[in-house]
Amino acid sequence: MSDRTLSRKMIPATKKRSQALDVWKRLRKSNSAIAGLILIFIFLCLAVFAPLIADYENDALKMNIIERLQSPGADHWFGTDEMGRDIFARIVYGTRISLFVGVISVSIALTLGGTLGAIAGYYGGKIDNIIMRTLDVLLAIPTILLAITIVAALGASILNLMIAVGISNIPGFARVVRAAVLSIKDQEFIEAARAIGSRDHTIILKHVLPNSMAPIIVFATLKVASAIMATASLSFIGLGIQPPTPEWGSMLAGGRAYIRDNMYIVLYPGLAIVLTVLSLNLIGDGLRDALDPKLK
Amino acid sequence: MDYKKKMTMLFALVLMSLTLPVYAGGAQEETEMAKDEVVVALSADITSLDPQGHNDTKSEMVSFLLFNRLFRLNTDFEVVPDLAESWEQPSDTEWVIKIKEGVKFHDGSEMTAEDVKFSMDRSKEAPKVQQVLSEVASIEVVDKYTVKFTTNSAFAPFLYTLVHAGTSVIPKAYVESGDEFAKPIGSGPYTFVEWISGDQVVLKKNEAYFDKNNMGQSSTITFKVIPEGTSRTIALETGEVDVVPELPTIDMNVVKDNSDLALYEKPSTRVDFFAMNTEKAPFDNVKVRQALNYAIDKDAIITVAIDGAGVKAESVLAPSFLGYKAGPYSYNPAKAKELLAAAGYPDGFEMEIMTSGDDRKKIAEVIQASLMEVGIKASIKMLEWGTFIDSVLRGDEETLILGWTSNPDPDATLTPHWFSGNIGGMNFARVNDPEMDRMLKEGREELDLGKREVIYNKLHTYIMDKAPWVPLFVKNNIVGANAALKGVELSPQGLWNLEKLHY
Amino acid sequence: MIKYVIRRLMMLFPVMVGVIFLVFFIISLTPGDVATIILGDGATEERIKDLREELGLDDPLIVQYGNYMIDLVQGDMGKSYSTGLSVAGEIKQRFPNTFKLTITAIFLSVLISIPIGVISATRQYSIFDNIGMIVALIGISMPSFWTGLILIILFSLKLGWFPSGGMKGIMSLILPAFTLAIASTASITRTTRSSMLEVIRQDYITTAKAKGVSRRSVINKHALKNALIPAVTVIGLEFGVLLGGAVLTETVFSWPGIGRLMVESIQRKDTPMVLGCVIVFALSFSIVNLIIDILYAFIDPRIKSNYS
Repeated sequence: MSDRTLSRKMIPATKKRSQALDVWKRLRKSNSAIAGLILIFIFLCLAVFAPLIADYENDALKMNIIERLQSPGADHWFGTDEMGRDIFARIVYGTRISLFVGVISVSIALTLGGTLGAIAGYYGGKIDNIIMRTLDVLLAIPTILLAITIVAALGASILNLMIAVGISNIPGFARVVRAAVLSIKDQEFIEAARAIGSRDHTIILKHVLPNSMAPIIVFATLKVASAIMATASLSFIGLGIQPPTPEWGSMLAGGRAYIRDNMYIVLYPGLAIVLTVLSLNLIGDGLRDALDPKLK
Repeated sequence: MDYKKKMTMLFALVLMSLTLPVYAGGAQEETEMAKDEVVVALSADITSLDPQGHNDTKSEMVSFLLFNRLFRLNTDFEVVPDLAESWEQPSDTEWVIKIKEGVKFHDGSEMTAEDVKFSMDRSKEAPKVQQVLSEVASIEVVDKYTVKFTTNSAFAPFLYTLVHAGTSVIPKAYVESGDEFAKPIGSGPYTFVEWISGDQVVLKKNEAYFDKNNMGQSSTITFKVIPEGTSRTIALETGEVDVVPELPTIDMNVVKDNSDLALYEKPSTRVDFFAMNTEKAPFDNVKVRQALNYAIDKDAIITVAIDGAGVKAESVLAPSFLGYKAGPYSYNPAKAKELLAAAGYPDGFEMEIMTSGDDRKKIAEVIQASLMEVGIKASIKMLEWGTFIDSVLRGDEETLILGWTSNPDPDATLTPHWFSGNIGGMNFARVNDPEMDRMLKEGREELDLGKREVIYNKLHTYIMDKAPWVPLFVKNNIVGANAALKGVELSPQGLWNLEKLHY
Repeated sequence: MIKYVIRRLMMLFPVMVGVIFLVFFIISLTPGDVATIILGDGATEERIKDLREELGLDDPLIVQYGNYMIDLVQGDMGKSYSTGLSVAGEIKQRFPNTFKLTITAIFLSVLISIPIGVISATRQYSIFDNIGMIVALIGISMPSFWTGLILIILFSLKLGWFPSGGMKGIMSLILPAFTLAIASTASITRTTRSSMLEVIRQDYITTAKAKGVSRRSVINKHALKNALIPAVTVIGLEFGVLLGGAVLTETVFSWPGIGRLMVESIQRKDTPMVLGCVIVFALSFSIVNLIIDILYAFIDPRIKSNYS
């Protein structure tokens, strides 16, 4: 009995570790992926240490009419917005919101889409057909339009935004997870697990998913990037996060009227989005190449 | 398999599908008619060419050029005759109006009293404008050029209702032909050419217009839809449009500093206000409402939201109205805190501001920041316009931000906003105050202007003392135009008499 | 082949039925009473009640859906709640504009990304490869309304090369199409590059090289045509992304397309118009993918055999 448990854990674990090491070795060779990792690390630090960098209430939220629309300078590195709030402070706190929204909405999509995809891929046949045909319905509507429709229905708030972006990404994740599961479900160690009488959900959760993680991680990384973009787009249409929350997309959308005379109001939040999304894309791309050794 | 051939074919296919529509678009002739056309930028498409099928200012601009009403408003918002030749009032509830003879519709047929009666009857049934003539009990044809309106009760501002686009006179024969306003026929100074949905409306000068003094000036007027504010200003600068009726206030300086462009500014009658739902705690407490009147920094709102293009509102109507009196409040956070403490909220409370639209969102943000100073935590709930109005009519809101453009008579605004019977309607603060109801009735029935003024003076004082609103500002209408464009006129509602625009 | 096309077309029906139901359901969750929204502020209770009855808004959702589907099957998409105009008529006017914009964008993006992808692959790890990929990635990292505004300021206002918006001739098409194209350049470049790399390594290319065929001709004659197959699929998928992106681009560039119409209609809770737009979006997306699949089979007969 103890031997069995041991072997059950052993097979995928060794495979996983060596694979991860391989991937890391190859990833390290890619300058752009490393640049992306460094950038994301900086943004993560900003998010975590925001309170040490700026005061939320006083710098990011409080109106200060006398100091409105100031160009970037020593007092305000990135200038101030139309209400006299420090743009740098708002961007720093905005990192939290943007990354949070991106990660959570992708988690929603991953959990729901992943479950459906895994079930479809693992069982195949009729179940597969029913699930995938149902998801075709979601897939037929362009992601951003689906998100707009959902936010319009639920009302604009951080939670609803994440739900909308999450739901509209379900079919994508389902497809990726299904494909990943399909590619390994007939491999030996899965057969072995089945032979020793493991239950289906145990096999899926403990053996199939951990070993099909690679393409899913790549996809998720890229989707966090597009979720951040989707949030910005929704803000532009007026369905963004409610003020005064310093979210990049709404800073960009709210400041766009000032683009002529006070370019910096939209320049810095825009750059923040570009850099974050870019670094996620670089990492995603790097991972994709690293995971697909035949290309290198 | 010859892959290359196939790939070439594929690309040729893509190319063809691409070039065909593009060149069709390119083939549209670029009219270079030495500036005899005027292009007006609209922030949204019109909703309908049927003058009784819309109730918004964009569609109204087009309707006003295609159709005539019995009366119209001049730039000072006074009622002047349009189709009406003469009118009299045989009794308190009867109005006999004679229209001009020989007015021709665009198809050449003559306008008669039949058309007038038909249009008014249709207006009363049209979903979008049925409220306009709600005071009218019946319309009769007296003779070929005369109609008689009978109102439900004595109704002094009656002629004002006949200036609304919804009371435009449309040819009976045309409506009955079933064209459904695909190619509308009116009597106005311009005739219809085309409406490309979401893109533009093109009108052509009506050479046979009946009113030789108010003929259209340029040969075509095109309304171009440009939803994005910055894009509207840029289109003005590049000369793609000649006049922008709703210039974003942020771009006022761009227009002012450009010698090729001219900026027109005129005070509106629109009061933007913050209303508190007096049915909900803590806004049922007059001290709280007064505190908010002291706490909100109106100067900051004017600076941030409208870039200084307006004046502070001190009461519930614009200052130009009969019987206007300013309220006692000024920006004073300390006093606000005192009042809050006296009301039992020394540490403030949490509340929600509901509103709609990007401009109002900015106002909401400033109010939110003002309230933060006195310890009140306000959250902002942005809704789509339709949803917003629906929630407001149901009284779901705690507080709201809205603007209201008033008709020239004070009663037309005061009764909807303050009469207890209009709770669930325009009584946004949901005020039910018998004393207010009494004063409103008194004001409406008083015919002597001096006495009426006194009554409204008292009413203003009373309302502001109860403080259900924080009146915020009266915005100026801002119009940007090409400096060479002549005939740019503004009324309190904005760009006016568009038929006069020309180079 | 024909059997395959027919089967794919048949599969569109259940998807469309599902799409319509889904959107019907989502819109029904939107707060606000349609009748009140249509009639506006001054409406009486009675009129609102009448209108609700007229529009069948008091019926259960499933009945409303059923009625809509019955009309739709007869080719009737209904009338817009807010303008009273025929939905089919509006869409007929607006959709070609969006299609024109999207196709041009696809074309531009192919024009940009295939060469970059090919060169990147042939000079793997070179500076060109790295910079090309990063530029392409920056493209998808920029919010399109932001890019659009910057392009307008630069190319219309400062340089005066293109009109700032509207739909008048070929010049007005360039900026919005380019803005839209930027977003899909990255994925097409990436796909071209990696499939090119894959092909280059295959035996017959090595053989061709060994035989002394020139590098350029190897790439043109042998590698490119095979590498383009996956790129074609990605182009199909990107079509959906572009259709969605059109919503923003159309607003910034005052382009009278269907994306803007849909967002405006959502805001007015104009259910028939929203449904009309969604049907057109979903249909055109599905059909483009179908066409791509057929082309795919046409280019590479091996695939066809899998389906028949």
